[in-house]
Amino acid sequence: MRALAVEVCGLHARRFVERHAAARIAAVFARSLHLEASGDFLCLGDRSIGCGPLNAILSCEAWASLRGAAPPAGASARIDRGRIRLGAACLETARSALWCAARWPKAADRRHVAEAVDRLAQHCITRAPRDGLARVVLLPQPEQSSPLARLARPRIERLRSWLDDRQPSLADKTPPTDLLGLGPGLTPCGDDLLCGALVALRAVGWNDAADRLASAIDRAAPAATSPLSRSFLRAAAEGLAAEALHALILGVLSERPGPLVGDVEALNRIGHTSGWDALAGTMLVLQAFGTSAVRSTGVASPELSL
Amino acid sequence: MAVVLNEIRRGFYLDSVALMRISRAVAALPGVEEAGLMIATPANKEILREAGILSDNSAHAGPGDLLIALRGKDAAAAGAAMTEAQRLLEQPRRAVAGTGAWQPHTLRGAVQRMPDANLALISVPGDFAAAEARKALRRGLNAMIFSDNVQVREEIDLKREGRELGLLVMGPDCGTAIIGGVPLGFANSVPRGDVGIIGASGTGIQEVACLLANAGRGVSHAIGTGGRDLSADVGGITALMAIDLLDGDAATRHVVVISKPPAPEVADAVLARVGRSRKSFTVCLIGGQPTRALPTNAELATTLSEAAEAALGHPLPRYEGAAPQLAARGKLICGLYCGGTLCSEAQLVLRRAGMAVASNAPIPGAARLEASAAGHRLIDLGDDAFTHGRPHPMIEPTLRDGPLREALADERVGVILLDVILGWGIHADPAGELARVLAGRKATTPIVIASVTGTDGDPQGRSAQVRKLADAGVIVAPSNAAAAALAVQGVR
Repeated sequence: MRALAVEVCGLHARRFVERHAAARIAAVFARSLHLEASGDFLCLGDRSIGCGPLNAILSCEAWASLRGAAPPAGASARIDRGRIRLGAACLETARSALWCAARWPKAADRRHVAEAVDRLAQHCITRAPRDGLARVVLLPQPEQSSPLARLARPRIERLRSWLDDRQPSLADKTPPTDLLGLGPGLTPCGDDLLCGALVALRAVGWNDAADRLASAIDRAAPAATSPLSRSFLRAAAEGLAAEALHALILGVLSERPGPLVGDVEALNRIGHTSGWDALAGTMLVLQAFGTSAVRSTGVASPELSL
Repeated sequence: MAVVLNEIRRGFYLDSVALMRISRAVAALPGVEEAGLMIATPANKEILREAGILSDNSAHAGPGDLLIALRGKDAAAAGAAMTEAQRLLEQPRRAVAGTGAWQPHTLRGAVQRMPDANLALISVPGDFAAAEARKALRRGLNAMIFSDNVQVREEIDLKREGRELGLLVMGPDCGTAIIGGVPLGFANSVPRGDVGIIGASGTGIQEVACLLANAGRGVSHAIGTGGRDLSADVGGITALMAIDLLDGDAATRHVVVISKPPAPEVADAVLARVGRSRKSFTVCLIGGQPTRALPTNAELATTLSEAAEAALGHPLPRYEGAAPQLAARGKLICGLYCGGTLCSEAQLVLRRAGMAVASNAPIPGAARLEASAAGHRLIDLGDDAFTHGRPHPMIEPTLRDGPLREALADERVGVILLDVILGWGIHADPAGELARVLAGRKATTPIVIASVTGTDGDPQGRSAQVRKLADAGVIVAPSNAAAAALAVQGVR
């Protein structure tokens, strides 16, 4: 049996290994392999997939070795004492590093955030793909409309409105979850957008809003979207997503100058439009934060949240 | 009349990019009015309903399912489109269950699948290789021709055409290349680094790349030229283009050029080009000497080990085990090689030790095997005479079993020299195959000395292969040249 070392594990990937004794190979793609157990997912791949909560990263050589000998989708994997046995390969996770997202800044200036989000929007508006939801969020007026855009636009506006109206008097207003399961892709665009929004809510310290949105999603998701998407949403509810998204949000909140070109490019490489859709959800939150009348100074610490 | 067809795939996963591509391909088929492939969430079923392509029987599809939905102008168009969608969906899954990658049947299909590709690896019977390489060039692709048995006239024409188009033609008979960290053909998993390699020899490239990798250095690109490139007929077209490429490559700081002795006029042209570079070069001409002085930015290495040491800037690790103790028997060395250049390098080591050596692939100063049956014998088992109609011994190591058993039984032989070559495309367990033949041999049989060309990143894993050899009583040297030197020491 070939021993292959997992170099880096996300938090949910590590939990997956700790909690499950058996898994099923849900899919084998060119750059990744998905394991599923009781509705939890773990994503194995090389460094090109980037760090993330569900990801377990192998060296390029180890990934090539695993990819060449991976059993097909549907095959079983056994998990025991940190080792995942997949066909002739044994993946050793015990010595892997735990990927931890960088801490959010203690306080972010909302005026600065508003300016940074404007610059980011200007940068993205010509680059965002026609598929997905980024252009629906970025463009004030609808372009030539697809069925997805026609259905998504009012739902996005409801989410935007909920974010803008986050006031103590509206605390019991139910967060909109009708973007769940909306759109093409292995993880529907609407889910990716909600992931981006959840992480950004944690980043700016609007934890109460994040909790309420996460709770609403958790209730609606089983009937509304795929098991894989639900795994990503659970991680996002804890404030965890792809490292590229974390880097971009951190860049906005920490007053890093420039339009965050590298971070946008890194997001562009995630899925067909998943990175862009997550960015769209993040921008909804950051725009709301930047223009928020509720507080005049930056937040990002739980005690200041609503 | 328009016809709507839906199909539900339960628990079907396909990555988003593939889903989108297939969705577009189906929508573009003749007679298709609308098509979509989506996870069957309630929201997506709403999209499909609004698009007029959701049928009533899809109501029970759930969020874990994939829904293929389309509307054709008539039943025939819709049926044909659904059949095509099914075919496209199965294509990558079949590949996953098999070799790990979808394999196109034509160059055109491959380019459609990967429009950004810039290199074609051509491995077809020699009679067809030139035509495929020409197609690749005309599609703007660099070509690596793994195939042999291509006429030299064809090679010249292809390389000239490639040069005019600014495209590299590696080969014919180019067994090894590493481009941008991707091993092609018989190549090893080595880290990326700052040493570029240009080689007319596959195993020469492998040995140098692995020696560098195992010493902690990486390779920017390793470009194979094919064995005839530095002949007077071909004129070193690929070697010269490769120097241009590595000279302009910011990641490359040092270049190693490996070749059997080239035609003098070609050597002159290559060295003149080397002299115009600002980068440092190591020129390794196995068994040969340059006919003119090397430029000041180049140094000569006579063996692959020396070439690796020159690139590293320090000596390679030495063999630290016990000196081989010869049994009471003959003192001849019998080398049985899978790698032609490794065989040449071993001949060179023996020649430098003042030994008479014969080979079926002799370097200058060595005898042809037929004329010297009594001396040291180093045999290239990858030579055409052994592989005609059979797999190369790197793929099928049992080709070495017969000669190895003969050498073990030959009272005149004191040392058997072997190479074990690892890497992609190579047999999964060459050391295990050798151990099987060597198992249970008597103590009075010849000493067996081997080197392992490979890295721990290779599919076979170098450390594991070394252990198997050691467990089988084989002395494992750190390099091919070191193994030959140990053999010399053993018979003296």
